[in-house]
Amino acid sequence: VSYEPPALVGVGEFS
Amino acid sequence: MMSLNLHQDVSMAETDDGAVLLHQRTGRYWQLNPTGVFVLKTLLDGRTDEQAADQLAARHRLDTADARRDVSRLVSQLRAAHLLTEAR
Repeated sequence: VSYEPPALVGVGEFS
Repeated sequence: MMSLNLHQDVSMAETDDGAVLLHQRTGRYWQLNPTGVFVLKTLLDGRTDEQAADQLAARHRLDTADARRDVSRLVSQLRAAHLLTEAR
């Protein structure tokens, strides 16, 4: 009814 | 029934592209896409993995097995990143 599978992507780390 | 919560050190900020999850203790952060936000919110509302998958399947007219596989994969990723805790 556009489908994008659920995704978790690591972006980085605050320093 | 076991329900899921965000880890106490994790903050979530919704964005135009979904949400960003920040682990305040480690400083690590992640991007969650809009479908992931829908699933995570459903789980945080106390629904089970299966119920979240059923809602996802209904929303996108997916095969239930496909939706359950996608939800299971996301939950595994969230657990592996130590972003979730279980509350009885």
